[in-house]
Amino acid sequence: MSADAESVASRFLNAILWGEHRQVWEMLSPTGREHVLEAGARRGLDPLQAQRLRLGTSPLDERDTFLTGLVHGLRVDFASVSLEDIHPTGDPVPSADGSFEIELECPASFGAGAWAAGSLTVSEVDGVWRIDRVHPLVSRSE
Amino acid sequence: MSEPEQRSYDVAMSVEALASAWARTEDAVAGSVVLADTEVSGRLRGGVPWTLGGAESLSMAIVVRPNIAPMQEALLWAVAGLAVAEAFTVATGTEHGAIWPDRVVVSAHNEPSCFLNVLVQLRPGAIDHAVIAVRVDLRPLQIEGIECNGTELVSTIADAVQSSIAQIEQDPVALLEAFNDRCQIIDQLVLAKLLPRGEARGRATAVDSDGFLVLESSTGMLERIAPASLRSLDLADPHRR
Repeated sequence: MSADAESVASRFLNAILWGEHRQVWEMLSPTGREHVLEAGARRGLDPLQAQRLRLGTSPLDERDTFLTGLVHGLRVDFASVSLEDIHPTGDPVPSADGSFEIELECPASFGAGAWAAGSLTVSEVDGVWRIDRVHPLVSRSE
Repeated sequence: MSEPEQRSYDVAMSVEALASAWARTEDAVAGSVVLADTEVSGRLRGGVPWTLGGAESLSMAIVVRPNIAPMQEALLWAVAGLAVAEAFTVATGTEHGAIWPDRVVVSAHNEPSCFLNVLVQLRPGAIDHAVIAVRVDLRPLQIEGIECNGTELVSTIADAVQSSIAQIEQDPVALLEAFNDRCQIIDQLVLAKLLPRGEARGRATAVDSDGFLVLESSTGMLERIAPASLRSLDLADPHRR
């Protein structure tokens, strides 16, 4: 089960890297999509548009524009490291709510070993691993 | 209207600097050419040093005064790429193509032997002048045994640039079609590293009417890359997808 979760995490990072915007949206769990829409609302996303996105009734142009912005935002979140080099590491850590935390790391820019790059929260929805949250590590002092 | 002139220097700081100063202070006519045997501070796009000089290289800059909107300035990279690729094809007898925005090659997998740079000087509401710099590593051309006369190559490039400038003013759609036909990365998976940071990947579909490269992902996401925000462009490894 945990190997699947890790491969989903890798696929998610790869989808961000290659701009596969619909794939990114499909890989988000309902919780993950809600987080994205909440973040959008804080930045002025129209509530009606958010509802259309939630229900999957958006016109294609509207959806693609939103998802393009989402991919760009995720790339910015990981801008301090090369997205291509980020990979899941270690065993997923279970949480009390049934989700799992997958640590991400990337090769160290200097010295040996690897640096933490953040984490992904994943959960199983209808037998498929989905992304709940993305926690990029934006500062080495965190 | 006076005829374009040509000025040659044994040593120059950079051909762009001389051509731009000539255009600005002495009103150099469109098509005027600056040549330098050696550049003290030759720079390719993005400030990459150009260290070749003497018989191994050709460094030239052409003053152009395109009558296009300032917002279309990025189109001048396509103008330069198309013109120089056509000039090389004529001068060497070998089909050359362009790699947007600044390279001319035999094929996308060959090392580039020719690098372009475009400097644009704006005035209110218009482009005052632009300088198209062409730097050629002549060694691969000689190694391949291609007869390549430097003087002839200079005039062929200058004529081709003038001709492409006329075309962009009259029929930009046709020029872009011609450029996209010659552009070696169209339909290829590419990796664009961006300034100040970040990257974009996808299939290069075309250079659009603003002179931006359009990348399309496998799910149809479109990204437009401006020459000014491009750090480097390489073919991407499809196996790493």
